[in-house]
Amino acid sequence: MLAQQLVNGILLGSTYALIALGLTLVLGVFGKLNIAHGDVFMFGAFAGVAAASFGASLALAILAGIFVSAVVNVIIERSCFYPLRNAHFLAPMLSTIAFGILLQNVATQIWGSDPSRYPNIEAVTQFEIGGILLSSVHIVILAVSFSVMLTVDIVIYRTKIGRALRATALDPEVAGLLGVNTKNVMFITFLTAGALAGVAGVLTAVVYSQISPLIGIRQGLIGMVAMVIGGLGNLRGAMIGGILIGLVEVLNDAYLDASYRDLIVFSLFFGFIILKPNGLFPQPSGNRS
Amino acid sequence: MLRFKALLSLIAVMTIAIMLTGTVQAQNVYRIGLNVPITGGGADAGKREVIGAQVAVNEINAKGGIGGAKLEMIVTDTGSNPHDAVNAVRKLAGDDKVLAIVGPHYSGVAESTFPLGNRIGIVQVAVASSKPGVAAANRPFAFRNTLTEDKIAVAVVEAVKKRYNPKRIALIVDIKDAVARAIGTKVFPGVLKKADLNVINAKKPVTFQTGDAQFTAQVTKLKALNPDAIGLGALGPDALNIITEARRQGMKQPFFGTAPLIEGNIPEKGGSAVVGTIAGSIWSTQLNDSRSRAFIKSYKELAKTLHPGKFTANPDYYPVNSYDAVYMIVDAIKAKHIKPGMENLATKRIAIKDHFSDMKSFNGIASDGFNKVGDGKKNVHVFEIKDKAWKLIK
Amino acid sequence: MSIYMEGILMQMGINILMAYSAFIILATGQLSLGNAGFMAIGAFCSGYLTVRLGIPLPIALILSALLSSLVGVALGIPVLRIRGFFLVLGTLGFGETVRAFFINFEPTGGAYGMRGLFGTTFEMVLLTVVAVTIGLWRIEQSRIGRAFDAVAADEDAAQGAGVNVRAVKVMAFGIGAFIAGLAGGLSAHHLLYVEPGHFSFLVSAMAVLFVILGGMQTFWGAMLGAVIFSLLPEMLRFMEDWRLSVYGAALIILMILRPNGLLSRVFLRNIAMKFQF
Repeated sequence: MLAQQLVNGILLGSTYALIALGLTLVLGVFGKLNIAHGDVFMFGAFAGVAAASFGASLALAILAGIFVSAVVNVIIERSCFYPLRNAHFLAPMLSTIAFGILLQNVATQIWGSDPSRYPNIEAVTQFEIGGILLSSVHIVILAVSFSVMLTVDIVIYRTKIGRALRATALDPEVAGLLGVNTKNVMFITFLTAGALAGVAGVLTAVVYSQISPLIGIRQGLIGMVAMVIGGLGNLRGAMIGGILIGLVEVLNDAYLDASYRDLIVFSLFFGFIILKPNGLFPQPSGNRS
Repeated sequence: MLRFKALLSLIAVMTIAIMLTGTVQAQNVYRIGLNVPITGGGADAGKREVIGAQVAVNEINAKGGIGGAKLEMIVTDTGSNPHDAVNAVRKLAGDDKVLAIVGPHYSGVAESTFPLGNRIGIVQVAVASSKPGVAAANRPFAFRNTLTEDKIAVAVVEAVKKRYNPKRIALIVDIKDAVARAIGTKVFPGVLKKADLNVINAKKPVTFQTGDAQFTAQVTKLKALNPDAIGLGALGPDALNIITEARRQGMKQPFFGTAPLIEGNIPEKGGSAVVGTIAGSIWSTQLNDSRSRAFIKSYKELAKTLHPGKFTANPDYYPVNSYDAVYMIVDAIKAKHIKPGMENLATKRIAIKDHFSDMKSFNGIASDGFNKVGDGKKNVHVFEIKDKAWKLIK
Repeated sequence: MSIYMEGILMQMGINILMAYSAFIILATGQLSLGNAGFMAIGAFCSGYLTVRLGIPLPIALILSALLSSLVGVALGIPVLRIRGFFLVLGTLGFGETVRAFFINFEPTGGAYGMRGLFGTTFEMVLLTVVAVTIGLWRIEQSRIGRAFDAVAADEDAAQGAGVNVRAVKVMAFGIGAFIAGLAGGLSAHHLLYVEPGHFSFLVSAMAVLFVILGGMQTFWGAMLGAVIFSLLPEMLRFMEDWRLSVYGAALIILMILRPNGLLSRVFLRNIAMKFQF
């Protein structure tokens, strides 16, 4: 059973990784924490479910989720971050809390408070590889999450845009002086962070099968835990942190009891911040907090 | 200076606005309250409850009201949380001067509104709340027009035995939601044991938390136990996800649960994965008696204009509970010869409470009065999923 | 006074106390997004004392607030070394850990919670708010208040000028936790029931939001923020199912219009001058 549970943990962790990645992009590049990130994830999930219920394929549904979440995230940037850029450093973050409330209630008005289901995920094939069982749904999720993470990694570390992003994260003034269009960087960062949340949202809807307007709250929190454990502002750390938390949760449920899950996860969270704030992978660069 | 005056005026305006929300006193009217969630996690269920109760109010007023006086229902939003719900009870009882309140929805909310109702001295008839002991701890004014899960569990287990004849049962339990947890840890183990079924993980059931995003860990564990059937201490949406994941991991065993499973449209959403699941409830749109049929018709009609929407178009047992609750209060008014208007409120409320305490039976659509701790008495119907619907098992 | 108005004012008073608890920590340049954890300690402890041990409510409230304060000091010490978002997330993690702890803590009911609490009256809440307000006012006028300001403005300069920065920062957590503990005890005995679900991260966040919206330079800002945003959801009842969406939107818009909050020290001084205080 252990091998299967490890796979389960990686599956769960990959969606956490995507959420943590989105959070870290914004935090790393702008030093801003978007507490509504979990609700952006939720909105993307609903967009995907809505698209699928109109007959869209999984690929199209993911695109719908990406589009909607990206747009919502940019709206958050315009309403919570840009207007408050000169206020107290916490003001934008607190404004995102209010935005989260808004998103949850608007989602309830549009889609209802009863859970919505991702349609037609019936046709599933089972694969058995060395005693471990994987359904086609699980494989798709793993494939999509890992390819997304890989793409982000490549873009950030091997392209010009990625360099611009990392430069802005290190020092926006210098980056600006060196010719980086910081306004564009901001836009792209928020767009991408939103898109990542959207992908995670649709994938979760497929695995979870059902979503409700309140699922963003815990997902957002866990994303923050993963971010901290991986190392605040460290993109690769965020991905690994996400997978690790997925493993911790699954192993806890498999061998202990679900009642201990929050206690373990949040004690780890608190412990890391106090004792090892740079996370498991302290990175000398790209750290802005 | 201007800002200061503006702020003071703002606060003054807000305070006055709140004070004025109390409704106008009226003489020849019977006033009751409906305190259910219109926002928050329970919004859909709450809106259905509003429609169900309004159907009852409309019927009563169409027949001339109670002794010629109109029945007026004031609806407040509990916000799916105890803070708003408590404020709402204070408003209904204090400012709006209602005779009794239908609501709340959710045990977590009732835990605060029930003792408040006792202190004020006003009856509340909860529309949904099955955490064990909530009404019992709040005598004499608290009533719950819901059925405790153990009666449903007995009927369900009997049906499961007949249908599948399982030898080994595994349980999976939600440790976060009070109702689901009680079903999985307190109700099912005892009932299954009495029915001579072996629960292989009674001491350490497989656990999860309400609304979990995925159940791969739990299902892997269940699979390793190799049971013949699986008992669910879970709410509808989680049950659906558990069963779906189980089929994905290749498990073919049947699942069973109690009332919470009937909620969440499992048959429609679950497809072939959920066929054969057994659960029980106090009512369903499947029932063919004339009163159920009439109610469904009136409900669907009203739902076109009152809180219209996809999630409120069809009734489930929540609006039936609120409908019956309204009629119960009317029954109390008639039996105790309560006069309309706002005088002698305390005496009238106590009279209503006395009537409810003595309500050993009642001819409701799905309500048969209350037991001595204030929990509802109802018939149990057992269902199995077939052809995308809950089919009644005779 | 109608019991409805009374209920609203009591909850407003409790919100004011929570805002104060967030304020006093902000006043030293720190931040806590975990005050719901202190509120929980105050609530469960006082509940245990009144329901299981029969201790009178006022005594139970003080004792629990003291316990909460001790935990606050215990938290204040390790967080001395973290700043910025680490502090934000660290206190958030603390609050969630406390909540998760109580889910598993059977003597106070675990996930099922505790019943039988009662006793919070309007007078009690009013008295507490007045007492804490006077306390904060005295602190603001005193040397300690100036030390708080100094630490918030520039820790190194304050250290150089002889202020015991570490003591000041830990003290802020201790005081904030004490006030939050009072709020928790009063709230639990007002809602007549207590369970871990009452102390979510959102409660901590709203406390801080009240302060930022009201103006964080002075504790009157905390009070104002709490007053307005306690009245708002009740006032918006006529919006029915759009109520909470409008509430969220109102908060966002207000932050944009007045990023530094509604009140500031200069503003208050002008008012005081007008009224010859």
